[in-house]
Amino acid sequence: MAWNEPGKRDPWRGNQQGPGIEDMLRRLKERLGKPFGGGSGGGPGGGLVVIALGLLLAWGALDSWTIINAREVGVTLRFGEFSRIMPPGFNLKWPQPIEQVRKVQTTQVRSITDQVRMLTNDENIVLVEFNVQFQVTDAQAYLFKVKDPDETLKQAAESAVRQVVGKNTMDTILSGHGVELVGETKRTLQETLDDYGAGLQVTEVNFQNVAPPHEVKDAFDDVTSARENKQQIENEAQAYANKVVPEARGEAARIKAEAEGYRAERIALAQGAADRFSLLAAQYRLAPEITRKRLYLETMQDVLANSVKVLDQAGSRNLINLPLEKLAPGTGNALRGAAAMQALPADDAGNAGGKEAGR
Amino acid sequence: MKIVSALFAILLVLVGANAVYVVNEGQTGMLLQFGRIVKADHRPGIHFKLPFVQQVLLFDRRILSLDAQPERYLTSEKKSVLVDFYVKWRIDDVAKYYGASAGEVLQANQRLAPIIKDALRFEFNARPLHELIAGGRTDITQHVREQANKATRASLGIEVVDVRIKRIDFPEEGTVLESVYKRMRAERAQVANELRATGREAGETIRAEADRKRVVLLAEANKEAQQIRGAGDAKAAEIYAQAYGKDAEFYAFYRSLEAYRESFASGNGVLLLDPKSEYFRYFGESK
Repeated sequence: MAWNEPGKRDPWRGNQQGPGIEDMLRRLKERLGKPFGGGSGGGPGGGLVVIALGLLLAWGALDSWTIINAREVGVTLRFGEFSRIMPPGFNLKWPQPIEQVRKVQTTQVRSITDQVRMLTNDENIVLVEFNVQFQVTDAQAYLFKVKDPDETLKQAAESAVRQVVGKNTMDTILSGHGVELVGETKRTLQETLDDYGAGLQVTEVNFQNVAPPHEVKDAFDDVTSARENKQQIENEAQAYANKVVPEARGEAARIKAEAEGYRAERIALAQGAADRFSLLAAQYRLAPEITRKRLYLETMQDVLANSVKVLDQAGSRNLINLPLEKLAPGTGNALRGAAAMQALPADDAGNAGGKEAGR
Repeated sequence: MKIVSALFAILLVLVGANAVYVVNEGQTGMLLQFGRIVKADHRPGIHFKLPFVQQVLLFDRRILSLDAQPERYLTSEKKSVLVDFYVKWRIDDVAKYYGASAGEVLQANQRLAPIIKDALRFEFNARPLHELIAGGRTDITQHVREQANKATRASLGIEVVDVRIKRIDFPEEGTVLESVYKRMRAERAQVANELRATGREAGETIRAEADRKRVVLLAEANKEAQQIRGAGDAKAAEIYAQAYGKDAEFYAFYRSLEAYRESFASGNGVLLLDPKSEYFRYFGESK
């Protein structure tokens, strides 16, 4: 931008009036002569000079100080050139045409929020709503390095967010890697601002909302519910496993316990039978003949007491017709038993039977 | 006399005012004498010039901005994209800048925009979309900046400080956006299906593993049970053998008797007996 007339419309001076006429006047008079030194107007236009001098003094008194608010700093320009930074409080300065002060808010944290649609690395579309908080750290740079620093920050922020989103896939962006993304955005943005020398410090970057576009939201929701389904199926299966395995363990324990019981039973029975036999055998050895006979007769007595008896005269070859069905209500078993009994020991019963009968 | 001196004073003031000018911080001044450039680069501060003969022009020394309308480009795979970018530039050579744009930012931007757009177009046409979206951003803007600088420094007196892409987007009109959404939906459906399928897979695996454990547990238990039963049988046999082995003959007799008793215990047998047997030894006669 060019200003063809110096001081005619100079945005740097704000409401400053004219091209510093007073200044010129003073300079002019200094050059013209010394009569000013004493303060008493000696020249022909003495009255005019006194009036001018009075105005000058009044102006000087009014505009030789300024108060800087605690939240501001004052950037002081002397004849347009940067001179110094005024701290908050009461500050002295040269009156207006010589020095002017521009106040910049530095402690206040400003904020911009924007929502943008962006492409991710895998060419998907994502909506990002972000918020950047920043403050002025270098008032001089803020004023004189970049035109419209706030708008610049907005541009750079959008670019930085875009850059970070473009480097990452949709899944990464959506699945809570917010902290890393935000950190990278902040870093990129700060680097850009530093490159421009904007005098701004980014204090915080937030991704307030990261979402897929509305057009595909249902598909994304379905993935969420699929994830839930998966979990549910797995949980159900786990519940089944948690039921079946302990039950099987219980059943196994029962099978083993039954087997233990069987073993104990078998051994006990065997022990009992063996002891009974051993005791009897001991008595038998004392009187074998008598005991043997007694046992035989007792047994036969019991056997025959319960059964139907038919005595067949030895040697007779007559055929006796026996109505077996009537004699015994039993079935063929009885017949077979009878047939077997026919071969009952005809001679000495002691010789009957095998050697031993294992159970 | 008074009037003359007053007029003289006013004249002096006017001349003096025209002889002094101030260049503010963030500005640069250029001094012209009858339209010819005398001095180009004035630093901020107070300066003097010949009144009325010389003229001063002030320019913004700060970084200025070009934020143009989004531009449509084709990538190397002929995808149409809308690119929104901004350019940061500053006046590098005041004399050239004044010559090229009469010192108007708007005009300078109008001259600058096509240069940047051309450079961007060149970069976009040569690269696939994913590269432009991803890592390429810094690189291509770097390249564009260098390319543009060559042209703008010489012709516009402008130094391009930075070129940055704010957005790469698919154009609203046409089918590109819809097809992207379609693809996104398809991708999501795929993910959802995979999740459900792997869920079922995991479920079946867990169930099958549980069933396997159950079968193994039962089989092991049965094996052990048989061994225990066998051990019981063996121990019983040993006990029997030990006891009966002491008198095998008596055992045979004893066991046989027991067997007879058991066999006829039901009482429904029919016995065909030989009277000559030992049991009937005294049946017929008493001696």
